Order: sequence, then structure tokens, then C-alpha cells
Amino acid sequence: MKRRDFIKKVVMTSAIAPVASLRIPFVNVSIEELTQKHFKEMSEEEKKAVIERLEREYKERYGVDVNIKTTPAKEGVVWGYALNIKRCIGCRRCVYACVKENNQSRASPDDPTSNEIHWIRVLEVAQEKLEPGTEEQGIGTKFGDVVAGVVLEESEHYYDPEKVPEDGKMYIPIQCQQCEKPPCVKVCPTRATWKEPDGIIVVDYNWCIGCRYCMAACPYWARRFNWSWPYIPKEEINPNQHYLGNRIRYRGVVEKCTFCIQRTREGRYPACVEACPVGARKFGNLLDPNSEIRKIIREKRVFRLKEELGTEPKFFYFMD
Amino acid sequence: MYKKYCKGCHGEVLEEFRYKDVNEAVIDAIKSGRMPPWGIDEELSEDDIRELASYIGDWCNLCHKRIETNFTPRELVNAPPNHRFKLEHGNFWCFACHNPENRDTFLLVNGSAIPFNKSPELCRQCHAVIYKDWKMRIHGRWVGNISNPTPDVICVDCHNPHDVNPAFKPITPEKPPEKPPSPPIPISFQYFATAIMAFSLVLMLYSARK
Amino acid sequence: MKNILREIRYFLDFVFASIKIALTGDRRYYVWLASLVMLVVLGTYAYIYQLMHGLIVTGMRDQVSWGLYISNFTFFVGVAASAVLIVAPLYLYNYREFEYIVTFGEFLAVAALIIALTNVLADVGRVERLWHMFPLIGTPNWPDSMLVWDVLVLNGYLFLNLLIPGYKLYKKYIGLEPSNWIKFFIFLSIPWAISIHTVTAFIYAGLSARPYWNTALMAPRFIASAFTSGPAIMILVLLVIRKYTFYRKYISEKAIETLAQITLIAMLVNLFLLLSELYTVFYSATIHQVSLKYLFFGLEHNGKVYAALKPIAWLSLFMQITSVALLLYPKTRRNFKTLAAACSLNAIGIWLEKGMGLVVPGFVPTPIGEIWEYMPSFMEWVIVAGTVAWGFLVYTLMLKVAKTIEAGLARHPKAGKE
Repeated sequence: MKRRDFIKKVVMTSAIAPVASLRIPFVNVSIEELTQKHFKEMSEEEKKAVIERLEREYKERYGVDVNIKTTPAKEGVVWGYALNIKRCIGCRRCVYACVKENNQSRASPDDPTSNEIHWIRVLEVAQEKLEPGTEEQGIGTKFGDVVAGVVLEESEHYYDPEKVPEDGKMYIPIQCQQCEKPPCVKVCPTRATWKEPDGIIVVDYNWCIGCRYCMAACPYWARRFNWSWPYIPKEEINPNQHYLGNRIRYRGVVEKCTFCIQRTREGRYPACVEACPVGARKFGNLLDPNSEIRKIIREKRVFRLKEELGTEPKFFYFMD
Repeated sequence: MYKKYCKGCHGEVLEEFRYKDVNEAVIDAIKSGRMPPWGIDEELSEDDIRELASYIGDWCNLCHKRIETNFTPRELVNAPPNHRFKLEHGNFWCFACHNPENRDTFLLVNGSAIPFNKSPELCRQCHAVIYKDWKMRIHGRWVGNISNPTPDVICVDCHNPHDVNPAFKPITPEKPPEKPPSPPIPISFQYFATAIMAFSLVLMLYSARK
Repeated sequence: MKNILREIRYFLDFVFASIKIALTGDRRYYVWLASLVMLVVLGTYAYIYQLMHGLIVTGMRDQVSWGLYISNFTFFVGVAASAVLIVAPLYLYNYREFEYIVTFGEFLAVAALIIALTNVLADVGRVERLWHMFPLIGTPNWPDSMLVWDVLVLNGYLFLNLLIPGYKLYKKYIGLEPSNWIKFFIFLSIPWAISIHTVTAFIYAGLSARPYWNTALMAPRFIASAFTSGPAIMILVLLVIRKYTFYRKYISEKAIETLAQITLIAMLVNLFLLLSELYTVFYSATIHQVSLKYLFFGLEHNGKVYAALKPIAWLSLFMQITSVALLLYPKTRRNFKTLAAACSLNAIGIWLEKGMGLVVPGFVPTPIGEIWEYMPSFMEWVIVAGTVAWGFLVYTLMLKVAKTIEAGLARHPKAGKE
């Protein structure tokens, strides 16, 4: 480092440091945090400084030593997901594995302002439902209403029977579909959410302004908002975190499923895939012709949700 | 270990009758809970498992060497408890899969015997499509590295070959998501706000009057 | 150089004189201001509470993620756009009756924009990060995001509507005729007014995820409803001013009559567009009718009925039709009491339809079929009341200044002498 640069740096840091740690009242944000750059515009050095600050802040707020990575996407990898809709038994093991892995906010027993966040929602759908009409109602038929197959409006989100699967029921887990043409990215006014080279839609939790336009734009209801500060019991915090993935979020920002970016970028399966007791969840590289995902697309009966919207999800539902 | 789990029924076994070469298939079976048939609740150390295995040894042959093979399909009323089940898997009798000559192996249709831990090869004979799916990692649970995963379980871990239906036993689901919480408002604020709003309204009406 | 200095001095004089005018008045004026300030203080208090605890204090949740704030935003953008209905007849068709009320319209646009923008501030989760969407310093997603467009056109419109009447008042204050260059901005403001509400409609209409909004009729309906509710509010303001202030002689009955007719025609167009929408959705009866069905008839799921918006929808329709009836009949239209009633019904009816009736059903049921009903929380009402009071406060102060100067009651001491 040149001498002049060094002096400049020392002067800058000593002059800015006390200002940088000043906090804006009410919103409780330091100047340093407020002036942070967009993740994609940060140099490696700036990233390092930000990570250091974040780890310090999480330590202060939650009392846990966390390790935040910024692992970039691998070359030649586009992740795809497949879910065997015939095998899913609706046990919600994936939901809670996801909550644990991704540091989602829990419902607190003593704080009514904490809101629970699940990235996966499992729908229970009746495979067939017949409601015979009465003589007065119908015009000539007693057939009435028939519901068969996947009518989302007829689905039940809060089912809670003794045992699953129940007879005549189908289960459809829905999470972020990682669209190839994501409407949420298109509408975001600040570019706080974008598609990574490996196809994952991520959110910079330090750039999102919380306008919730993306939530209105998502056809799969995959995005969640932090209506309050997240509540996570200290001992349940997962310290292996990724800047764009499972690091603990803030009040007032949007979050979503990232296919466990902190795991997949190190070659591990997403938490929901490993948690599924029936092996209905499949994951792999769409660019690798030998991956399970490509084999499923090739050999199974595959459909995607709301294909008519042209969002081109990379999340495939299939049947044997 | 033997004392704890086996001695109750099988009585004392002399040291010299224990097996020197433990059967790897038996170790696998103990680890996954398939052996002994009623299961073991506690976490066993590697040594404990090997100790248990050394008593089990050839596993089935232990008894069956001394019993005459009866090929007639029948209800097993006098057999030990772990053998007393109704075989519901297709229209088969034991020897469709088990080797009558050597009970510690399976017998494929082509006549070759395979060890217990190669059981998927046995299932494959009928369930070829599913077997192919499994090998392609489309069926079953695979863990580890995405580019080179290993099967977490084999066929018989989820599907009991003796009563195959239902394939997967129903389990209790995790709790449903919470309904969205209602907005919290401090009571003091409610009173304060109502009072001020009422006051402002009165003021406005008053000002509009005069 | 000397000229510029003099200009600056005059302008400062103008600013100080304006402040003085705005803050002097009779007792009634002070009571009105004080009650508005009180509402603003209360709203600010509630807003700070919301800043500290998060939007959990509102009634919104993941299922219905926009609510009263965005409803209000939408409605008041429409009110702002309708200022063009006074500007355009005056400047394009030289309709002189509007000459004396044009500042009412322009400042109403300013006030409405302030209300709209404040509602956006109340709605975002991270208000201190708003700079992320500004050009140059942030990373605005332009031209993809309609929200960026909206922020741009709204602020542009706010600037235009401050510049045009402000400049004219300043010239009047120093006793000069306005220069011709202002005409450029006046003519610019006419298409700009249409654009703000079109862009606001496009925010909704572009979302394929929400079939209820994803209709080409959205922008025309927005313009029609804006052009009926805006003049209706205008008429109410004019009637109040006529009744209580010295400025009554400048507001001709003919101007009010013209506004009433505009209100009527726009309302008829609005109802026609609503009918087209209702017909298309209900006759084809696809699965996409579910949101509109929720709005007008309620939904049933697992034996539970969800129909929170049903009374609002029918009440709104009833109000709109009644206002049409009152406005159609010349006798009730020309009677200021019934006219006031018609305009109130009109404005409230549109507020219900375009606010809660437009925003909330778009979220019910959620794209994956969950039905959850939204009701604004008490906190939301307080904050919204604060924003509206804030808009009215600004409007009152600006009108006071404008009308005093326009009536020639305040002039620069050297006006006309140089």
C-alpha cells in the first residue's frame, strides 16, 4: 500500500468509524448498514468487511457465532427439483427440516408479535369429491359439484389427521419454483432479488426495501415477509450460513426458498430432500444429462404448476 | 449384550460356540434395526454390535440346519414369534426367495445364491422398473454428495417384503402451520388514540358549525 | 447578475409572505389547522410504533400482503390525476370559467400526491432503504419494474403541480404576467396526469399471478373512476370554500355545474366498464372468477363462509348508482345540498371500490388457494388518518396562500413599480 493511501485510509476510518456506528432512531440501523452497497456491486474486499460486520451483529443480537459464506455458483450447473406427487404422504417433515436449516422465524410462545415463517406449504387435495345437488338446485341433474384432481381453491392447508396419508387424499408441497422467467425479479423496484447463474432466485436481505411487490407477483405464493423481527431460539440457530441464503433475516424484508444455497453450492442436497422419509424429493443438475432430474424429465410423466403463465419453473412434479 | 437381549429365550451360550467371523449382513441388519426382529431401542456402539453379531453368526442356519425343510405352504403356528406372520407378498411361499439349501442366503430364479445384503437383486427380479428407478436415484432416498450420492436405505428398509401392502406405513404428520397472528396493539395506545381522534372530530365539527 | 439577485430576493420575499399568510387566519381557521395537526401527530406516533415493531401491527399478512395503505395510495393517485380535468378545459379549450378554480385543482393534485406517497412510505418494510430505488445513487430496476416508473412519474407530476401554480402565484405576487415558457409545463402536465394513473393501473394489471387484476380494462377503469371521484372531491371542496370563505364570489355556479357533469359522465363510463368486467368474468365463469365472487358474494370453504368484503362491495355499488341518480336529475344536480350528497356518495363509493375492493380481493384466495380475510388494524386506520390529515393540512395552507394572493390581498411592496 502506498503511503498516501495508507494515511487516507487511517484518516477515513478514524473519521468515519464513530459516525458509522451511529444508529438511526426507531428503525435502529447503523450508518454503516444503511450505506452498504448492493451485493453484486461489492468488491471481494467489501464483501469481506460486510460479512465481518454481519457476523458481529448476529453475535450481538442472537449471541451465536455464525459463519457466513458467499460461495458463488459453480460453472455448468443449473439446479432443478422434482417431486414425486404420487409418493408424497403429506407428513410435513420437509417443512420443519427447512425451518431448522434455513433459520426461519418461529412462533414464539410468549411474544405475540413473532410470526411463523414456512417456506414450504403442503396442500391436501381430495382426489375426488362429489357433492350431489338437490332437485330444486339442479336443472335436471343430481350430479352437483365434482372436484377431482388439483383444484387449488379446494385444497386444505391446515390438515391435521392422526396419520397420513389418508385415503382418497393427495398431497402437493409447494415452495419456490425457481422460475426461469421469474415475475418476482421483473417487478422488484430495487433489483434486490435476482436469478443467480445456477438458476436460483435469491434476495439480498440488506437491499430489499420491503415493498412486497414480488409477493403480489409470485404465482406460487412462495415469498414470505418478515412482519416482525424473526424469533429463533438461540440453540436452534444454524450457524452455517450463506449471505444470499439462510442467514437470519431482518424485520421488514422478503425471504424465500433458495434450494438451500448454502448446502447445494457445496455439493450437498437441500435439507428437504434429505428429510423426505419416502424419497419423493429429487434434486440435481439440469445441465448434466445423467442427473436424476434429467432422467425424470425424460422418463416420467412430468408437469409444472401453472405452466400457462410462462414462468418456466425449474420445479417439476412427476408421477411414476 | 447377549445377556440383555437374547439370553431370556435362548439361554446360556458357551464362549466356544461364538462365531469368529462375524457376518457383515447381520451387522447391517442390526444397524438398521431389522435384527433382532423386535428391535433395539438404544444406540449401540460398534463393539456391541459386533458382540451381538458374534452370537448370531450364520443367523438362520443356526436353527434351520437342524430342522427338516418342509416345502408345503402352511400357516406357521408353532414357529418362533418372529416367524409367525401372514405372508402377503404375492402368491409365494418362503422358498421363492429364501435358499432352502443355505438359509443365510437368498436364491435367485436363475439358481444362484446371493448374500442377504444384496437383497435388492432379489426384488429386482419382479420390480425391475422400480429397481431401475432406484439405481437412477429416482426412487428411494439418496444422501451425500449430489454428484456421487449413496443410497440412504435399501428396499427392505421401507417395504417389509413379508407384508408389502401398504408400501409405506402411515405416520403422524408434523403440526400444521400457524394461522397468521392478529396485530398486537398496546391497550394504552388504543385509549390514547381514541380519545384524541374523538377530540379532533369534535373540534372539526365545531369549526364547521361556526 | 443584479437581476438574478433581485429575483432571488423577490422569491424569498414571496416565500416569507406565503408563510405569513398561511399562518394567519381567524379562530375557525386555527381550530381546523389544530385538529389536522393533532391527527398528523397521532398518525406519526402510530407510524413510529410501526417502525419499531414492524408491519406486524397492521392487519396485513403473507396471505394478503397489501392492504389499506396501498388502497389509499391507489385512490389518491387517481384524485391527483383528475386535476387534468380542470387544467385541460382551461388551457386546451380556453374554458374561462375554470380560470379561478384552476389552482384548486393543481393544489388538490399536490395534496393527493402527498397522501399517496406518504401511504407508500407507511407501507414499505424498510423505509430507510428507499434510496435503493432512486436513480444514480441506487439500483432502480428500470424499465422493468412498474413501481420505479410510478415513483418517477408521481414525483414528476408533484414537481409540475408545484411549479405551475407556484410560478404563477409568484408572478402575480410581484405584479408581473407569467412568461410563456410555463405553458410548456402546463401542456406537459396534461398527458402526464393520464400517465400517472395508467402506470398505477399497470402495477396491478401486469401481474399474471393475480387474474383479478390481470385485465386490460384495469387502466381504463382507473382513469374513469379517477375522473369521477376527483371532480366530486373538487366540488365538495369548492362548496365548502363557497360557504365559509371570502373567496365565494370567484367560484361560479357554472364551473360547479360543469364539474358535476364531468363527474356524472365519468361515473357512467366507470359503471359501464365495471359491467363489462362483471359480465366477462361471471358469464365465462372460469376458475378466475373466484376473487370477484369473493368480493360480491363471499366464498365458502370447509363449511366456513368468508364474506368480509361483501357489504363493502354492495355498499359501494349502491353509493355509485345513487350518485348517478342524483347527478342525472337536473334539479338535484343544481341544488348544492343534494349535489354535495351525490359527490360524497361518489367519492366514498369509489374509495371503497378502488381501495379495499380492488386491492384486497386480488389476494383472496392466495395463488395456491388459501382463503384468509384481511381487515385493517386499528393502527393502520390511525396511520392512514394521519396521512390524509397531512394532505388536507398542506392543501389548506397552500389554498390559503393562493387565494389570498390571487384575490390581490397580498402583493409585493414593489409590485408593478419596476
